[in-house]
Amino acid sequence: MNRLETIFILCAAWLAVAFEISFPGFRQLLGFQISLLPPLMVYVALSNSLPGIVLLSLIGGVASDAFSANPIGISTLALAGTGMLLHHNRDLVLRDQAYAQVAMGLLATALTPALVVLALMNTQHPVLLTWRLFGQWLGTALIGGICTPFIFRFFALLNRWFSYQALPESHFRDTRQIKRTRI
Amino acid sequence: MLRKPQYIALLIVALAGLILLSLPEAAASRVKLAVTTLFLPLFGATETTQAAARRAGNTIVPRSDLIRELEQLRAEKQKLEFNLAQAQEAARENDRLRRLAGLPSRPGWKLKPARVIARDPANWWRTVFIDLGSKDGVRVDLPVVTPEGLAGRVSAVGTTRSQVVLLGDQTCRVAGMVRETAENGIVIPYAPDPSIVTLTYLSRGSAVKPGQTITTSGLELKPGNHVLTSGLGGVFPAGIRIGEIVDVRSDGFGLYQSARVRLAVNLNALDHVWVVAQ
Repeated sequence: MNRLETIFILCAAWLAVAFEISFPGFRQLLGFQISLLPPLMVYVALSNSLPGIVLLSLIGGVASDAFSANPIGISTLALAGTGMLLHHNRDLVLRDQAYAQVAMGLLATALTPALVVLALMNTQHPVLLTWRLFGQWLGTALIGGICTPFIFRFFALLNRWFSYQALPESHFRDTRQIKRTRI
Repeated sequence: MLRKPQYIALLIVALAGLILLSLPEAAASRVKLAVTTLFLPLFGATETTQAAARRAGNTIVPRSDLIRELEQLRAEKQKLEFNLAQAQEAARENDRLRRLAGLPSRPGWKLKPARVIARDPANWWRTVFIDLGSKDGVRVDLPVVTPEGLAGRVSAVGTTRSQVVLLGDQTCRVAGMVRETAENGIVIPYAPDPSIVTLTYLSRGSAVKPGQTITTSGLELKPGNHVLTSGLGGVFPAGIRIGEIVDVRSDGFGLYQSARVRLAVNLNALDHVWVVAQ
């Protein structure tokens, strides 16, 4: 795993949580907050290695739960489950295609909160399942799906800027050189 | 089938998750508050940005608007000074009468201003973080209010930050009272609409059929009646505004009544709040 990319992923997780806790725009406009960690997990699961998934689910999940009334660690498990599922099937996904990215983003953003709610149903404070929550879940999944290709584009841009780019090979070869000699 | 590295990764995450989930409540709360320290630069940046935006806004307000607002505020100040004088006289009279009646004097509120610095990222909980902590004298269960009414109570306290659980969350139940009828009940969440709560366990009136007026204790509960905290339970002081009744229905197979109450405070737009230190 590229060390620089790991740092970028952790920074992106920090920014995603910071956005969720401090930006009230979506909450005031739509009545719910969108989640950017699952789309980020899609990128990591499809383009990165297992340590990336582990790091993102640990750091992102714990940071998200720290600001929530969720028991700490519950989002970690949900994010890791989603990431593992995508990573395990990544050979079957055309990850460079935008529609595949949207579909995977939709799946991850729907699956992660569903897993958290499912786990919370077995705790002391189960979540009240209402049509409103169902609508919010659908809305979050939809927006998560739309955000996913942008995250792929963003990381592609970062990689282009900061990663080592292999120089294109020259067509010149020593073996094919015509040596000029005196006749 | 999963490959070996995948098993190892899954095991690491599962182990870490289970360790965190099995922490005692106090330890988990401490870990949460410690993790929020990672976001201190964000809180600082937000405050700086807001201050800069305010300063920028102040420079472009026309002088005529400022003068008009100043005159309005002066008039309002004079009105409030009269009201204050009346209230102080009423308070003195109340104290005198309480002394004569042998009742203990009512302690005043100490309000501490706080700023909302973070909101719960999960859509199913209703909590916020404020920038006051134990070093500012904040304790668990202190009420949090706004000028419009009750917002919630402090649920966890760190050194410089606290978590506030808002009205309408499952873990925030308040003893409420209808001001017009003095009817007591408990405020619980109303899941379909976050701007509404339910005042339930109101005493049963006469038999109710659709279209009939519901009566309780000889007085009618009407839409528009004000709901305040009753002071029962010891967490919230009496008399803080909660909201207004929207409608009333018979509940629990006719054993008691419930009223839907529209909250006085817009909890989605909370920015500055006050912690009531009694």
